[in-house]
Amino acid sequence: MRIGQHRYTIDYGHLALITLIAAAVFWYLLDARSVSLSVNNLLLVQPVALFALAMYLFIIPQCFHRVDKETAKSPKEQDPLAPTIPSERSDIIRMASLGAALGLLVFLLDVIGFDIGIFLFTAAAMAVCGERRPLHLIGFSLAVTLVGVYGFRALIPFPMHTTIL
Amino acid sequence: MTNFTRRDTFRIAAGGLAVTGGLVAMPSILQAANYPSRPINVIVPFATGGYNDRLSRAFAPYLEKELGQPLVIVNKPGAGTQLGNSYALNQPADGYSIMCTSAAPYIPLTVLLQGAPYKVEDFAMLNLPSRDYTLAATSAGSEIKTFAEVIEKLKKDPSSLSIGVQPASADYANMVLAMQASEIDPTKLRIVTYDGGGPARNATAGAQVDVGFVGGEGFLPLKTKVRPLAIFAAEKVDWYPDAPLLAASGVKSDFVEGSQRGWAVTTKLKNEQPEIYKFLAGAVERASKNPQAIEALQKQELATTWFGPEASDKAYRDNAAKMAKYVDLLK
Amino acid sequence: MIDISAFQDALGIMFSSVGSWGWIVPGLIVGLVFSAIPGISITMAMAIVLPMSLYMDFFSAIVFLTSVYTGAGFGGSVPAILMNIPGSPSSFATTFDGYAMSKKGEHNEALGYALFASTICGIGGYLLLLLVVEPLADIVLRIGPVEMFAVALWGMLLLGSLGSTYISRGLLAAAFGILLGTIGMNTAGFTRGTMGIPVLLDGISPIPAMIGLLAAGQLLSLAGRDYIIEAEGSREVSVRRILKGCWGTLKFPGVLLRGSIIGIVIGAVPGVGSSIGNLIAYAETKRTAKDSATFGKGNPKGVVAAESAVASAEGGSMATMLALGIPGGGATAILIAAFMMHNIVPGPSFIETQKPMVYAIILNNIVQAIVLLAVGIGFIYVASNIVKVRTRYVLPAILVIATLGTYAVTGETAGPITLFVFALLGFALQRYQYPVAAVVVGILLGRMLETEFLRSYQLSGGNPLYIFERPGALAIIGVMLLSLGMTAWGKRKQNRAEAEEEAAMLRLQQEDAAGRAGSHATKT
Repeated sequence: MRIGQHRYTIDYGHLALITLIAAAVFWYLLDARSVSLSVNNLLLVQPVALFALAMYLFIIPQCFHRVDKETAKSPKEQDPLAPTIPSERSDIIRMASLGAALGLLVFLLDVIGFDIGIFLFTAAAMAVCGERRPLHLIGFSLAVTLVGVYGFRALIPFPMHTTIL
Repeated sequence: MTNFTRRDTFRIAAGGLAVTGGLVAMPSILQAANYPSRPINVIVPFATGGYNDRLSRAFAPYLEKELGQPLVIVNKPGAGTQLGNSYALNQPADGYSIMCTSAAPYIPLTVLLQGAPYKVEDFAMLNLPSRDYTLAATSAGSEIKTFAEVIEKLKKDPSSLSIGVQPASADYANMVLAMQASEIDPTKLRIVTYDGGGPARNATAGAQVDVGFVGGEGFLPLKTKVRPLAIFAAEKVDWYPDAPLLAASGVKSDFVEGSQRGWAVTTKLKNEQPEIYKFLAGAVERASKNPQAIEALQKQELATTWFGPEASDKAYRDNAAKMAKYVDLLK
Repeated sequence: MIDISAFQDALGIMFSSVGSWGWIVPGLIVGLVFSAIPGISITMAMAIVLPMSLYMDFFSAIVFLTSVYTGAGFGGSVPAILMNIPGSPSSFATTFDGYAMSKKGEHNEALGYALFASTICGIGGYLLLLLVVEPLADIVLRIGPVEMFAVALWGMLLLGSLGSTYISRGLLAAAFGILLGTIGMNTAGFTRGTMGIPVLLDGISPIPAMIGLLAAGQLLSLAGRDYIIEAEGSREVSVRRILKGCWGTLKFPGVLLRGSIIGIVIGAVPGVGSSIGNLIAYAETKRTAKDSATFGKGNPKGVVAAESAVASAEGGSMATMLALGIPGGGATAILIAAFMMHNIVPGPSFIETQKPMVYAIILNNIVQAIVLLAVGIGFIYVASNIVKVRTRYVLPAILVIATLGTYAVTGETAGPITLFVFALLGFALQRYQYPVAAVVVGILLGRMLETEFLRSYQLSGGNPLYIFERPGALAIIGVMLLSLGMTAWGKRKQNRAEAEEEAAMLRLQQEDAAGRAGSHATKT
């Protein structure tokens, strides 16, 4: 994108994230105001929401990088201990598949039961982490399932929906 | 969203899994004959340590003896009992889930004020032994000695005293009724809101607020830290004899009764499994009349009085009707 | 003050019921194991063993239950340090430096620091309790909304020490977190942002949200690694190194003392205290430390500060329970239930009539803390072996436990779903360099901020001058400002000293270079 003399690249992911946050904040503010305009309701929520929206406007420009500046910038020293997202492609794929497996697990727990859900998830997660030997996959997943289901059943007063166990 | 939960959707989508489907389809007589064959859950829609939690834990050993099965206390606090109530309604009506709760005024209030997705009639009482009343109190070291003094001060200047109370509660309704009867504009009061009886009592005992309007029973362990000013009851309350009645202060106002706590089940169970319902009521009755239970619970200032299902249900529904009458005060 | 004759009677109770001491070790182990499972809270652990204690005599039952309580007070820091999963909000601050130390291969030391800080300050808290049980309880009862609001603000100052490249992003993250924390019904009865979902009436459940946010960046990114700790040489489990950490704790008496004071006063406030004390202690320690730049990167002082505040709070909440019969949290509520099952009602009359018993209970807690030292080292040793297991086994198991643990919080899949949603949010935030911890702080403190701010407003009738009627709040704000001011002054001095040093170095270099140049010149 060109604005005036300079070329800019847009960080669409970042822009999408903060716009999503800002939209959520804006909706929350409207929702709160629709409940009641009383001070007892809005005392903290309204100023904090407005502050968040102001921060959003302030951050928007950070999503646009000037290309020439970007290339001129020296590579910043990486803090080895700071939490970082892995940058290698294979690592990102692993992370994403693990996240997807977790998502499937939490949304399907009630449908397929804790036992089957945990078994499938453990096997999938092990495969994602690099385990390929079928005996290990099945054996360990079975162990986790049994310990998890029976252990937690003994611990918590709530019923756990299971299909087989 | 209605009470048609995601879980239900999945169940239907899954074609009625054999597990739940089988249970529902089983002839009710067969179930009643074997009942109870496994531990029974007691759903307490409050956090640990509250009156209902204590009542359920203290009463459990005696009720277990009558039921022949252990009881498991399940605390499901949140949203003024709405979460626990919905949870109880979502359990299969097989008698393995019973409730120990402040049925009134919490169930009617969640329906009236929060639009809870159930009706007052969805719950059937077994016995409500504990009858609480709103108590207006101040800290033991306070300069205020009587309720008449409170009214006098507030008449002169409605913001002269801070008032601690739980919003959308019987206590709140009583406070507003007393103020209206004394021609004090409730909107001009300095009201401090607390999200439970416990915090409101602590604030009263710690003199953080000048006057607190809270259920009186919870004050018993803190008796020496507070001074009772007026109790919103028609006649002297035997568990708090030093508390002067509201009428004694010269304020003539209607009031609603405070919490009615005890044992309940879903109406679905009562209708579909009358045998189990009768069995449960009988067990609660025998345990309530057990002298050992009475003695043990009395020491912990917990009630065991046996009113029975009919009287308890009537008290519960009367309270609900009165709440509906005064619901505008709470909004 | 302490009543000598009652104290002697208490010693009598202690020694005449030596049999009940046998319950200390099993109790501690139960507490340690349960609280090390994310999502299983102290309250739940105690509720499970409560029926067992019914069959013991009174003193044994109380010894057993308080041992569970003592053990659980420390257990939560084990997953916080080894895997960055705080088992409960009170071990959140422990993750900052504890997990960073683990990543450096210093997990042995980190756990040692945490254990010693926890036991020393636990003992300190109980000793103080022994001296001033009643006044302490009265002070706690008098802490009102204005004071708590000041405390909550103090907790928010932690944000300043989280360190982020972009201040604006940190502030947005914090504001967003606070708003998330206020979802649901507020203390005045208004319901916002629930989208009609009943579970949200009570707000977003903080434990699943916290685990989700933190786990996203850390746990999932382990998928590409073979072990939790990358360097092979660091994956050892050594008692020697654990003990090294233990002794190391003693080198920071100031940190321990500050953490304890914060823990005792703030941590003891019924309901909200425990989740904020550790944050304030951490932030204060970091701000006043000379080496504050290394906090968050594995500075043991961070671990010590957080743990000392958590442990010393136990004594404080025990005070309100014994002296007033008010539960400071779920765990003390169970203790009250246990007392009552033995027909003893804690509260003002209990403390007047049964002083020897009160002292005996407190003394026994001190004994438990000492025993915890030994049991804790064993527990750490066993638990640390997790770093030796390949991630392909550990990671799936931990994720399953975390999912089940978040289910255990309320018994509904709302818990695991919260975990997942916040894991996604945490991932996105980390990807664009937003401090995830700021969101967590916001979620943990948002509700408290709103509640106390609102009550302060109601109490004062909107008059800001009301604060001058609350000396406690003024004192808290005074201490906070003093601490801020002193740090700013210290930083300036430090900066100036550094600048001078730098200038001197530069001068030296120049002179050196000039000298060399000169010598070159003379040579040629």
